[in-house]
Amino acid sequence: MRRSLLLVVAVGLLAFASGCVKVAPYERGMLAHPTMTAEEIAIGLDGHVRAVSEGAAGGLGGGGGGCGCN
Amino acid sequence: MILRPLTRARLHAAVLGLGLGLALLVAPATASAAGEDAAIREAVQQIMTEDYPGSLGPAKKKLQDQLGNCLKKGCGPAVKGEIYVALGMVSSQLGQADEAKQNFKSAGSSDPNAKLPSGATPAMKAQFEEATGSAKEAAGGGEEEAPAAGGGVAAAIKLMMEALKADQEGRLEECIEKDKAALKIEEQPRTRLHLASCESRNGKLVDALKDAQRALELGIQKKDAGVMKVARTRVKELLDRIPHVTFVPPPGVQDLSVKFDDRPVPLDALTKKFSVDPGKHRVVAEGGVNGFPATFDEEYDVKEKEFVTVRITLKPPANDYITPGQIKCMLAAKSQEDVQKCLPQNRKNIVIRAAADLSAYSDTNSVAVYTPGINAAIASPTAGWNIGGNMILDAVSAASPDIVSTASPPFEEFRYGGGLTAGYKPGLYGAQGSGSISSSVDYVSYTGGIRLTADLNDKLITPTIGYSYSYDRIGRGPKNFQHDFNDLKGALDTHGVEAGITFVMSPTAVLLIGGTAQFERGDQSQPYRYIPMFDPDTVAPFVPNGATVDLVNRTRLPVRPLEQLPTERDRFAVGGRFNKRLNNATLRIEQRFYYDTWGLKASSTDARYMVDLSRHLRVWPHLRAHAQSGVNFYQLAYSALLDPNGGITVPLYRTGDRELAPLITGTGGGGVRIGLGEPEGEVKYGITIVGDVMYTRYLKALYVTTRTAVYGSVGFDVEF
Repeated sequence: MRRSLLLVVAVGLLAFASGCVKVAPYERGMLAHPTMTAEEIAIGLDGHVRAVSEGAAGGLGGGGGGCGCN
Repeated sequence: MILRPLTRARLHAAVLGLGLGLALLVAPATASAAGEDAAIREAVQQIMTEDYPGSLGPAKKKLQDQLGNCLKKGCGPAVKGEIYVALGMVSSQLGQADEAKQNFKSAGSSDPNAKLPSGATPAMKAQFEEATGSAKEAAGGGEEEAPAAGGGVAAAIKLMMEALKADQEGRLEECIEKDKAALKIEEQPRTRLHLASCESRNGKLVDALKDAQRALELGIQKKDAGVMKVARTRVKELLDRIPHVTFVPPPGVQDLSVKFDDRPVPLDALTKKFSVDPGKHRVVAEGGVNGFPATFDEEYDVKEKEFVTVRITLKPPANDYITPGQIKCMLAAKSQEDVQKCLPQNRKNIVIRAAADLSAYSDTNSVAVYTPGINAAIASPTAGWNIGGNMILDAVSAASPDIVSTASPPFEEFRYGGGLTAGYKPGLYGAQGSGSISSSVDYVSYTGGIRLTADLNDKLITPTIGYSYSYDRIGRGPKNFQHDFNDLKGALDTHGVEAGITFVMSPTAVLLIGGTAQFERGDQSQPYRYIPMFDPDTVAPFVPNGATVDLVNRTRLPVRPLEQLPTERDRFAVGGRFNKRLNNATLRIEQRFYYDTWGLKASSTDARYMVDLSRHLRVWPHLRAHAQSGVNFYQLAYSALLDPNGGITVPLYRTGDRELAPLITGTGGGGVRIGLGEPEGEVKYGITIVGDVMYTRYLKALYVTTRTAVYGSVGFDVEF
């Protein structure tokens, strides 16, 4: 578990560094595509089935924003 | 023959004086005054003034006709000689030197006094001299000299001859090119007239008109009656044939720009009449409508003599996601707020979304679920607020095989779920609140939460944090929450904390990393689930995975306590979601790691590859893999101790919940999204269909070792 946390922290730091890379406003057209949303894409029973059939819960808190389109 | 350079004046006389000479050709002569001769002479004059300057082919044919008339009617030798001279000039101009010489020879034979007009070209003079053997007979021969081979004159003559030849052979583009090249060397009204003729027949009426007008100007300057007459006729004819275009600009557009075939049209001249060539033309206009960029892009097929009125109607960009107009707008943007203004979907004051879906689930444990649901939301992208709600209904056939005997009959009980959400994000910072309830006859859950978000670094980094609280009441039987259970059982409080950051990694990649922590307090033990107990020495170690109900009943102890779970559970999860846009597809990959204080560890991986097959059709495969260990108190076969006094001791914590056991699950499926109507229309709607097959293998469980489930949804959504 500690190894996993370290991995996540490392990925986070890498991502944070990458996030400093400037992406100009006019370069963000692709990011406005509906499939690029940082939110979860699921309809119907998808989430409910996972909640019931998997012992794990939670995960990606705080998805959203960042696409530069909304 | 020695060739010497010509002076500029001589060049004019030699190369460009063809028309001037025509007057001499047709005027004095030595012909008799007979009526037939006069008529033929007049016809020849007309040919040499109207056709000869620009249309040698027709001129030659008409002259041949006149020669035929002449020979048939026995016209005078002078007239005959004139016709032969004219034919020789035409042949010479066409580059047919032998034929020219033959005609000149015939002219000399018919009329010993036949001579070239004063404006004949040096080539004509040379041919005439050679054919008649009388250099001095050539009019003006004493003062005219041969053209220079190496100077501009010779090049102009050569180009002109090549243009004529190209014209004769139907190569109009080459004719235009050669004439233009010749005109660069020396401006000549007849060459320009010939250029106009080629341009006219090549569909370039506007250029032809300009050149004909220029030839007329030059003809007037030079007092060349022949050129003036032909040029006037040609100008009139072209003015009659040329189509015209005018524009009707949209009202109230201050920053309008209009291009006709990529050439800007001055705004103050839009309503004027423009001469254009016949054929296809493209009109592109751009401007702001209500503060937002809009475009007009149309193609017109204009016919000769037609008058086309282009009514410019600026429309929002016609592409689903990005258009040239939007790109231009974005290029001019200095901040993310400026970019937002370029996007049409953000322009409405109010956006309403509504959706309905029907989901179904069925598995090999004879569990079936049908879930219709609806949701709707109203948002103001400009003001930054939103509200929404959803409702679902679960109709369940049964719970699970080991508790079905005490559960309600199939489809007699329903779970109702509903939620409300509202948010406000006027600028870079925002908050979203939500509340929901889930209710069935023996279980209710209330949840409320809030999430805060901020856009940092020009929206390249978006962190969020959130908190939620849930209160669950677990009962046994209809509305039996308070009476049958003590305070410790059947109540669950859950505090949840979440945090995440979304990074824009590149113009085509987004990464979200985040985590959640949930702190559960209370007894969430299943009140229907009885746990079989086994003798610790002789039975429990030997109970096999997937032992049947019959085997369990035959080997278990008489005692069968209810499930009992620990009353505290802290659950932690961290993970990431990476979205990458690849041409017309988006790859979405998620990974989650999970750990809780009951000792359960899990890993979940999820991927979709969403391909836009067209503007209206998107398909994607979906894969998911999940693996987990069991909780630390989970046992396949629990043991109970009997003491000699008849007492019995059971494990403090015990469960038969297979989702707390070690297991692995693989899910495969996909979805399709069909956009109905035009994506850029005012009302957007579509159908989404998803379906998955999930296979689970329980590594340590009674009764059931595998489960295969099929579930899917059909949804319809609309936005306006």
